[in-house]
Amino acid sequence: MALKSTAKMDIPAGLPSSRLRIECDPKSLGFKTTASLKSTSGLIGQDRAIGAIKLSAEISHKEFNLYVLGREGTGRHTAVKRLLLEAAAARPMPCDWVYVNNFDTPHKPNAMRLAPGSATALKSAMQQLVDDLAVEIPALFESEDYQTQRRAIEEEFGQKHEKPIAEFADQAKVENVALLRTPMGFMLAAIEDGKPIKPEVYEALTPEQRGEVDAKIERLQEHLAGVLKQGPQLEKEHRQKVETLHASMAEHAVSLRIHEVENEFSKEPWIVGYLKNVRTDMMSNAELFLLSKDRAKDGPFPEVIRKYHLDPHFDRYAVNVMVSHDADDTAAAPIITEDLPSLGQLTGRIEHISEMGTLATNFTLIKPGALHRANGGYLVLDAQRLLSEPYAWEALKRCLQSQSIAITSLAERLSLSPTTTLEPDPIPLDVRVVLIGNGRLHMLLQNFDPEFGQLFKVQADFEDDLTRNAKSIRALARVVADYADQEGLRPMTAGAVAALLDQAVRMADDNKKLSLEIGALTDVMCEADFYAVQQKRDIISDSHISQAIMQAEYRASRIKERMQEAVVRKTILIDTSGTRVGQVNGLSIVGIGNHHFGRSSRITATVRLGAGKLIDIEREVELGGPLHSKGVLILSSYLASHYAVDVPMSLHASLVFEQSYGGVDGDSASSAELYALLSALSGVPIRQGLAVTGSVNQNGEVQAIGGVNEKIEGFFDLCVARGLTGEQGVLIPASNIDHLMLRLEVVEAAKTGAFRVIPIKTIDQGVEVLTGQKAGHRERNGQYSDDSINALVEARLRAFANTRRKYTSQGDTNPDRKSRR
Amino acid sequence: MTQKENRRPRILVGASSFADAATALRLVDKLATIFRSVCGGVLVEEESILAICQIQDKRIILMNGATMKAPSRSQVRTQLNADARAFRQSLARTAKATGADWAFSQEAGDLINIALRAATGWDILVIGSRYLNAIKGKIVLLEMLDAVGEEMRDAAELLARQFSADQVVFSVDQGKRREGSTLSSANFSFASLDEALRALAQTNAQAVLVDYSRGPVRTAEDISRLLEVSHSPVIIFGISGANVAAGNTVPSPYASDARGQIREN
Repeated sequence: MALKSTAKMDIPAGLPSSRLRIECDPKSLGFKTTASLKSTSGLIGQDRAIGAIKLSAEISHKEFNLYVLGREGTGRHTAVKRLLLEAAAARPMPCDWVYVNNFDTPHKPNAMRLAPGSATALKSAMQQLVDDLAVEIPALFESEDYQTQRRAIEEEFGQKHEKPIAEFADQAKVENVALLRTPMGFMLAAIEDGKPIKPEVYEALTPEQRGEVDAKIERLQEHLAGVLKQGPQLEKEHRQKVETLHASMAEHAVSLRIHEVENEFSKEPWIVGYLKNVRTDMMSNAELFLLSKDRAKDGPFPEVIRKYHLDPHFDRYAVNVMVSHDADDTAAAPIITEDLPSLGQLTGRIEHISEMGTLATNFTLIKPGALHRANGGYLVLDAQRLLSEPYAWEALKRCLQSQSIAITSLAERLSLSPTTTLEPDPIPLDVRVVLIGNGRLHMLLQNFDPEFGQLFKVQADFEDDLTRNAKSIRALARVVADYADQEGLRPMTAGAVAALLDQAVRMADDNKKLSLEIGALTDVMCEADFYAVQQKRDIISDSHISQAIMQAEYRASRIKERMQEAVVRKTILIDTSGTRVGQVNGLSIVGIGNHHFGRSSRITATVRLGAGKLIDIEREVELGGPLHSKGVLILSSYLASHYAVDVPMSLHASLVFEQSYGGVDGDSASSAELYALLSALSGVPIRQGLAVTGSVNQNGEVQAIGGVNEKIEGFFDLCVARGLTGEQGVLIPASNIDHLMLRLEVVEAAKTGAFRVIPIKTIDQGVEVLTGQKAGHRERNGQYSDDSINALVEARLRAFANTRRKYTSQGDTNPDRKSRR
Repeated sequence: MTQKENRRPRILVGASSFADAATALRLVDKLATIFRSVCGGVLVEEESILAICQIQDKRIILMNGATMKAPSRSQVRTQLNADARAFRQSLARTAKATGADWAFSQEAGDLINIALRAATGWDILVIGSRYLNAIKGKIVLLEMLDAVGEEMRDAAELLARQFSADQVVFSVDQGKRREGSTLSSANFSFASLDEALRALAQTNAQAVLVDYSRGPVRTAEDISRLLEVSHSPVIIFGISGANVAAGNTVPSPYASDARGQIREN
């Protein structure tokens, strides 16, 4: 069946230009410049997220930690900061925390909770205490009082130790016995002629004389042994007496100074207890202060102003302030944002110093982490950074579960550190953690970490956009004005704000919405401000905003221009005029980074007799994604259900995106593919001045697609490059009309009729526009109306079926095989 | 060894065992560091001890009060040879620290006599004697009233400072103490050397300093008695000016008029 020669229908005029871009009226904003606007909260359209943040910030129950999800630039950080500040003001100021020496077990430092503002005061007091005692204790030991007592002890020892020996020596002399010193010890010998007896003289003595001498010697030996045996005991007693003297001397000075510190911190029971231990330790280690005095002579500064507490020997009395709050500070609970949430930065770390080639540490080398600083308040973390730091997420969960901060180094976790380390007391933790991340990360954590849901019970989901109405437009205008003010930008005219809001509409991809990606809008404002400065203007006007948007587009459009150049030079074959059978211009979106643009693609279809198989070449070579394949299968089903339903589908068709060397996904080209197929089946050519976008369902209804503005503009740019003919345009799904926010050039072209945007609801509508022929509908007799596209398609399919039946009757059911013979 | 300067204080250490020498070397170490002294050592095998060891069933009382059978003469000799090696090495270490020369010899006889004879041509003689206890004692300056050398006083102060020890002065005034003069807790006056030695016997001393040329210790007998009661090393100044005996067995590296023969061991 051939189409009779009938007059072609004209191309519809398409949408009026007023529907292609709905701009914001500067007059409706209610101000001339943003300089007259008052500051606002900076949050609009985020009631759901704000409620969630407030709940998490104010609820007292544990584990109501917060995950804030939303797109970049939607004001998540600003909202969190502002709302947490409000909540923090109502919370009490948390305690200070310090680590002090555990005098009994130095490798397990003690944590002390102190009243806000006390930590630094205690640290200073202890430093002063050490400085004072380092001067006073040596002075005490140089005093005549000490020297007298010390001499008395020495004299007593001399009396007790030396006197018996002296007496023994006298007695030996009286008994005519010499006390000889040998390399090994003492030896006693009888004296003969004033000298120790000689062996031959001794041997010459009578046995009685020898016995008498031997007995005397033996008695004196026992006496001397007894005297010498008392030596160690006497030494021990002497040492104890000296120690007691030192302790008693030090006790006076130490007690006096410690009492002063106790009075200063009398309301702090922990400090009072700690000072008792300090007092005991100082008295038993008074020699530390004497040594420091000796070392002080080496320094360049006078003793009286020497900072003795800086001497490492006095580290044992240091106070390591982990977290301290200014008692006079009006801000209450802390809000800490940690930009580098590594394990060490989060839970604190224990540093080491090199001593004689080995790594050593002590409690003064414990460094606080973000959890310490945020304790009693809020900790804000970037979820992705946190999860990318080794062991940081595990450590955070462990701290939240145990409600305490235990410091464990990465080296320790991995058993890589053979050096000594510490086991500090865990510090009780009361913190609300706020993670800021994207929705994908939130979903992954929910799905794969069962503890996440337990610890982060609240989610604040930020909206991407806002419904556009007069109120929201004014509100957003105030918000962007506020951001401009925060960034120190020049005031903006109402026109500039309106242009910015138009960009917000464009970013929302919906002319009924306003994008809430304030970050991106701020970027535009900053760039516009730059151009205003360049032009020596005190105010940002709409032209600056437009320039900023255009320049940003220009900077990102190198690839786009190269691709268009390839089309213009016919390296890539795209027709923008004339008609072709089985060929249609499809539109797709190319994304490079965060910049997207529309690209035209030639879609062709071929048909022949077959066994009901529709080949999607993109899928066959694995260049088509699953959504694209789904679209092709849907249009296949559309064909099967709409035409020649009473005969077997005997079509062999193939579809291809010509000169497409990358992947294709999405179903937005499925209507275009169907048009190409219908053209190929009917033999009716398609107007190449038109491009098509839209997906299709099995009933032939054209459905909305994304990126409609970019797609239209992509084809428009191509047509402009080739020269507008007045017969060019784009067929879009009617349901995408609300998404139109086209560039001014497109709008102007539409206004003059040089370009058109034609909304389509059904495939029949579309095929009529593309071919200029009626699509046709089934009449009462069940046949499509004569001379319609549908009638031609059905007739072609029936013809295929009949031919196939003919082949079947000849004994071969596979027409493909037959045809190859 | 090289000669670095012509005139340095020369210190000779005499001892009859390494245990005794070690106490003296500890003092010399401090003095040598300050004075950049030249050091010498003489280890004396005391004949009387070797002889006594031959008497059967002789016993030795150790410093802790325990007793043991006295060693044989050969065992004593072996012990002394080992002590000589240790003495020499310690002496070399002390001299090396100051970059000074050193000399060492080993002789037999009476410690005091040999040490005094060997010290001719040396400035200071230190006779070693082990301590009877581990408590650091005082630095005792035993002097004749109004006859104290500056060098000895400096040394006493230096040692007291270096060892954080008290310094006491035992003055023998032979009844000539001037009227009106007072004694502090660190200054004691005695009429005779015997009195001073009796007091010293009851003092825990770390070192005793005397001036041989100024008194009150002027003879070998005095030194022997002093050593007997002090139980500590005795540092003798003014030894070079004393005409002790002829025959110097330890040549001083820098004798007043001629360089001695230096034996490096």
